[in-house]
Amino acid sequence: MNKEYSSKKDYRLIIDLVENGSSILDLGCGSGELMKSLSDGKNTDCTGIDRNPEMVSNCIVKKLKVFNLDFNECLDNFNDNSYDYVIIYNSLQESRFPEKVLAESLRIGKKLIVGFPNFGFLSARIQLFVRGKAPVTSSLPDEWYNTRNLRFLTINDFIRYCKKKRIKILHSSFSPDKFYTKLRPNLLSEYAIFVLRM
Amino acid sequence: MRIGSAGRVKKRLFKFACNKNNRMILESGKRFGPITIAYETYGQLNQNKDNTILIQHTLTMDSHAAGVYENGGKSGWWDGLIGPAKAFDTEKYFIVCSNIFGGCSGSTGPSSIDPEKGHPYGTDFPFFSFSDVVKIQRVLIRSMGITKIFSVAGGSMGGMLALQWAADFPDEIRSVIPIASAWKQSPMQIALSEISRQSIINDLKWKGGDYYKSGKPDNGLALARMIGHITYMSDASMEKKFARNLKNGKFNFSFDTDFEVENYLHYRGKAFVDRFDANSYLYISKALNYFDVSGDTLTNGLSGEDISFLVISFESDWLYPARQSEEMVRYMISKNIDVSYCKIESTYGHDAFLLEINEESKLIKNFLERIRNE
Repeated sequence: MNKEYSSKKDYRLIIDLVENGSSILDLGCGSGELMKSLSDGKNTDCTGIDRNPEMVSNCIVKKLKVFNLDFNECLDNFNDNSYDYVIIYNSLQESRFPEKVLAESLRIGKKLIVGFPNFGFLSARIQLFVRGKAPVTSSLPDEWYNTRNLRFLTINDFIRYCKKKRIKILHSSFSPDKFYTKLRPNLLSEYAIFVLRM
Repeated sequence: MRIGSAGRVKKRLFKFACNKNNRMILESGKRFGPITIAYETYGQLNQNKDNTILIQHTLTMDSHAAGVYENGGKSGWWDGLIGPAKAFDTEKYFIVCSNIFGGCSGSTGPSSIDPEKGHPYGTDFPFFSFSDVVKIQRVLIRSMGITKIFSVAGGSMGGMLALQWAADFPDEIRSVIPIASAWKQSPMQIALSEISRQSIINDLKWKGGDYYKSGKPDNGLALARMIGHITYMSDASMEKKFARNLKNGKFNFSFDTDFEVENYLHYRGKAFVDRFDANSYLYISKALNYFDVSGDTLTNGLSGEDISFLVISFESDWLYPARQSEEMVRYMISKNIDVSYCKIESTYGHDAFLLEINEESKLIKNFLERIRNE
């Protein structure tokens, strides 16, 4: 999973969003960097899910709880409201069943935090419209032939989806963290983080 | 801290249930005694007596998990994991490994002498379950003044014994590490066991289990071992190890061994009969097949208990496939039990739990440290 894109800043953002001591389930947790930051910063009780054994091993080395499972297929085992937060950071766009994953996450977590790269970002649009090529940006760093992304969504797509499914958007932040991204997030921001509740 | 060996180790014997009025009552309802359990310990029991790790062995192994004996010989079967600064760190933990009840490496089993009759029990030996094995181990642990075990760990059958501890005495253990294991025996596992048993039982020398004077059913036991060894490997690991290599460089055009893989199986079979008792194999494999702590049997006692699991499986293991570990982990998740799970990528098949030492070490060491600091 590519978390290279200025992820540290996003981590900061997410750390600020969660309450102290809360329980967290991180879907597609990678090597556990975000969970470690959350545990250190907010004393949270984190559990991760990742299907890559190497990543899972890294999590265990960081003294984290983790399941070496595919979050597309195992969420039905989790109980309603069993975590304060479910986090899907940079992995929704890689999901085979995003609709199911979102619905299950909203059931399992009292709140859901979703972070994803914005396909509607200006530079992506220019690359596609002017140059006629599949966009590569710092938040969408891979080429068409090696990206793990399966879903190419924009911020507007996501907001529209939430409306349709009556999912409440409690908070949204866009990066880069500049005044103009707030004005036209779908055009000017590379990355979006939402806090949701059913 | 330098990684080292558990050093010189000693096999000890623990005897109990020696009197007529303090016999062990087995799950079958039978009363049995006296019982001897062979065991080894590595490291020191601390003052609080809360640093014990109980290591469980597989069907055909014994109490010799680490170090070497005074008179030399092979180092223990999990020597890579047990010792100073290793995963099961003997500088921190007090490690106990005992030969299971029914075994043939020092503990009372079918080849032991029945004190009332003066000859080996043979098939007069009582049938037993893993609950009995664990209950008997508990007597040994209690005799050392230990009331809470820090961790119970093992691979294959050892993992099942660890899970049996969790099912039977959840408040007496802090953590469990089942590796390449399952929470119940699948029909395929039972079927493979039955073939192995039948190969012994159909050896004319088995004689209903009464062969200790007339000569052992070596052919049957060796065949059981050969079957076993196939199930411990994977298609890929066999390809890598043997390919189609010939023993003598050419076909014999006879029923003698042509291929290296045949030669290997024969060698393994032969080596096995020198150290293992056929009746022990039969009894333990039967107890193995009876094993089932699936569903609420395992989790009912755990709710509310402060108990953590580290479940490890291996990609190419087809004898105890990852699917079985995952089924258990998913159930634990639904019961809010503290569990971590890793499926290690390996081509070694079931044997991986004895070979993927580096990866296992990383997981076990850090898991144990997390629990210790909680």
